[in-house]
Amino acid sequence: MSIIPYLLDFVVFVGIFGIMALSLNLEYGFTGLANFGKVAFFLIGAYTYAILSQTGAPFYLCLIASALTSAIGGLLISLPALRLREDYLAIVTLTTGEILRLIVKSEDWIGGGIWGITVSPAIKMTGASPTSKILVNIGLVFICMAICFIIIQLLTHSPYGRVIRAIREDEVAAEALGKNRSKYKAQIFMLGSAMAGIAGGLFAQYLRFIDPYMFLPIVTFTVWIMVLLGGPANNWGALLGAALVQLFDRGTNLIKDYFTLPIDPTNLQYILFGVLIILVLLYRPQGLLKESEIKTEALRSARARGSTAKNREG
Amino acid sequence: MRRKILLVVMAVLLLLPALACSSEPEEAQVEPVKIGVLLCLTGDLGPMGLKMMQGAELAVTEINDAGGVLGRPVELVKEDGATDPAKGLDRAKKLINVNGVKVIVGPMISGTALSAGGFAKENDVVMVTPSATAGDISKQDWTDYFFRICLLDDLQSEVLSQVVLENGYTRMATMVLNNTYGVGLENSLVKALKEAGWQGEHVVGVRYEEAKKDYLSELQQIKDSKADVVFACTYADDGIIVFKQALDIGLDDIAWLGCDGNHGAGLFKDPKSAEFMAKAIVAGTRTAGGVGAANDKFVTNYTAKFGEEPEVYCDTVYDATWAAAKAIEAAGVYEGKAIRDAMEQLSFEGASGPISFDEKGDRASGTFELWKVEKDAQGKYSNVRIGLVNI
Amino acid sequence: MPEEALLKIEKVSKHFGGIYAVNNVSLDIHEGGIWSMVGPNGSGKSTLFNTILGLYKPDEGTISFKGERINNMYPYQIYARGLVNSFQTPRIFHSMTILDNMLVAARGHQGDSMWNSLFMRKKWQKQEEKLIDEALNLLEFVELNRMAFSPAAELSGGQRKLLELAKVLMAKPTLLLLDEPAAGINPVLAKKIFRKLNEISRNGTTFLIIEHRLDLLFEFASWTYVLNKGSIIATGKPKDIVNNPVFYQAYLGEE
Repeated sequence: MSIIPYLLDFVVFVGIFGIMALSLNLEYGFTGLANFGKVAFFLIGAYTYAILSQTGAPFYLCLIASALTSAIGGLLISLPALRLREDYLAIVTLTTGEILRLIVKSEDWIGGGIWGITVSPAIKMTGASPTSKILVNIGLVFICMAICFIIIQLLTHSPYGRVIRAIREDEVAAEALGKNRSKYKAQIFMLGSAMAGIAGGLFAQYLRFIDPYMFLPIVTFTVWIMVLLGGPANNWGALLGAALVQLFDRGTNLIKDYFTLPIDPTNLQYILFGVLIILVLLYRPQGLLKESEIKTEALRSARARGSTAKNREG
Repeated sequence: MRRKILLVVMAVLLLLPALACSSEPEEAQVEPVKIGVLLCLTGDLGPMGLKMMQGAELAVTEINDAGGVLGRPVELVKEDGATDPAKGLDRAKKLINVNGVKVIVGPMISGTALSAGGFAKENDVVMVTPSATAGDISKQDWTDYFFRICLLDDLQSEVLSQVVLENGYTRMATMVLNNTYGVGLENSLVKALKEAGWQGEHVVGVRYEEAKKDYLSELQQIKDSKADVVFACTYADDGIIVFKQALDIGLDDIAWLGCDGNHGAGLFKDPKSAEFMAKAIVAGTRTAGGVGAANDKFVTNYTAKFGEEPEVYCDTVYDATWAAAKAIEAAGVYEGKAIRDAMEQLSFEGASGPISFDEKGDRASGTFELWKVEKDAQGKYSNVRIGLVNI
Repeated sequence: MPEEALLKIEKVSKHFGGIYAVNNVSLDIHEGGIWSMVGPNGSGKSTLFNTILGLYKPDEGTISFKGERINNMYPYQIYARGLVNSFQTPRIFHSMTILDNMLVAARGHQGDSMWNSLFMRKKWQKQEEKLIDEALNLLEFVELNRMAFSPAAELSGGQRKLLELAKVLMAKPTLLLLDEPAAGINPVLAKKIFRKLNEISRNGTTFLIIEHRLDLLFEFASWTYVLNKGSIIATGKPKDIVNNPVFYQAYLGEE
């Protein structure tokens, strides 16, 4: 009976990290931007939400603010960094994330520094049972996730989606065909950062406390595994990856109680995770779900016309 | 073929938790009493947490040798807080929801306390922390379920401030870990000095990151500040490097103050560090056990069982485990509210001194010892007590 | 009175670490017709092309298109003004279908903006339908229409060259720079392509083609520039160039 809150808690995290995975998928899977500083925007969103919630602002305003500040952060970082080659972009984004975290950690006036900030929940339910509080959070998180999913699906199944995939494949060729690659990359980076910011805000209000220790680079790497495992450039894949990685983390933690192991179970979990990643990269580098083809209504009807024509001929 | 192997491996890994959730093995005749333990076994504080876990294990061995609790053996359910309050909260939820524990020894870091404390109270689960020292915790609304074995910063810094005042230092520098422990002590030391009317100046406050392994630039800042006393709040691993490099840079001419983080034989592993400490440290503070008895016994048993001496907080986690066991025994039932009530009334002699709690769940009183480092005739270094202070 | 040149290259040089790939080249392309550039490998033809397109900045000289200086523009800005190019080694987008490749090349697709693709879907769906028809026509011409919905990765080398050509035609350029469009294509199809280019040129598109297939240039090109070692060594109608000894020396010299 008491397991249910833990399972529901798992669902909330799948939602929050689903949004993160979707945003990284948009940046890397579709546009080829190696963003290794994902946690930086998660942090910006979380702290924005935390600071604003203390002024008593309603949750939707706090979430919108989280999205905006993260988007601005994304724009600022993209200005110098997006012209860089993939591996350099990875390094720059990674270090930016760490610098941001260390600044927040050392400067108490920003967000309480090492002491962290307590955050009030989005929807106050004093006196309600813990289970109903989690259910409300599931609702809130999944509505946000659904909005992000729809936006990204619409964007990637459109001419815009063609352009960003072209940029991913061969940005010189894309630019030669009239696409301003800096503009597109900056837009995608801002949108991805905004979504990560929303995820950060939802994270902060669900945990009700944040501090700099919760935003280490391992968060970025976890989101990367979700995208790579689920399948880059497939939005369902991103969600699947988020669910599977969360399941793996919690699942292995649960089953370790039932085995006496020669190796310390905590470290074994990390080892197994690493092995899983290596297996995926070796044997299924395209991820579990294949890259999704671009589907617009016009294409669909053209395909239908094409096949009826073929049928008539054949 | 390869794809199939991968899918099979994944399927097995994913199905196992489902099987785990559905079947709870309850074959045993005597169901053990579960005490949850939430310490950081990985991450920045991982090494410290592993040593602390041994303190809990020692306590359980002794408890079970003495007949267990409520006539049943005690079993620890261990989880890793990973020096990350988000993970710590998740593991706390697992302990409470999945394992059904009613009392948890932990969490280790203040961040996890702030993230998990409310959840514990919501579920009528008692937490007994060995090391979460942040002042903010006392202000929360869930302190009725949260007890602290560790003495708070203000108490320890009162003792430290006495040393500063008595020795007439006027230019104090601080070199502390940039976490709740280091900064906490630094803040309360400065506050204690101000309240005592100290006329001196806090010339520089250096905060360094735990994982950094080189502190020359920080130490140079201290040197440039021309302080006459430096308060160093470190753990063992970073402390060794700090002191070693302080010797190299010639900072042994001025007075240094230590604390419980850099007390212990761990810091003598490097001869330079030991030499520096012997020469420069005028006094360090740490929570003391009762004179002789309980603390010495604990140190002896710990060293005998694990082959290494205990370090900071090993005694408090040992006491926390004992406190949990005694509270369950006094409650008479394995039930959260009852255990909480019993804990409030608890009073016993622990390895870290007499244990009892005030109305906020904080340690009511404590004894501090002042220590120095000395080298004996054979050239072996050790911590030596030079005084005792009761607060 | 000579009209203003469509593409004016004035004293352009480009060097890489002391070696002049393009050395003080000046040439004019006027509107209409098929212009060509020949020369042995390494004579600087591709470098000159890349400089025109904005991939390299000229170290000296200016390049103007329709009277506007384009030296310092980004490739996408040059495309916007109507100057489009194909690449010698086809640069197609493997992960997309052939039809998608064509649609990326289309000029002024409303759906290219983020706002439109999210909120004005009806607006660009109509345009997309029209563009798909255009694309399918062009693909039919290069005999790739049956594979329109297949991934571009499945194409053979020769087919990729055809897609590369169809793609840039889709862009409705004012001036189209083609880098060896007939290389790797069977002679019958190559001739068919040049006939089509000729037809298109009569409808207003100007071509500047780098080619080694002199017979095709003979038949279809109206003017030729000969490059060797970074400089123009001869210029004239193709049939005149063929009789110019300078031309042969350049080609024989490379052996």
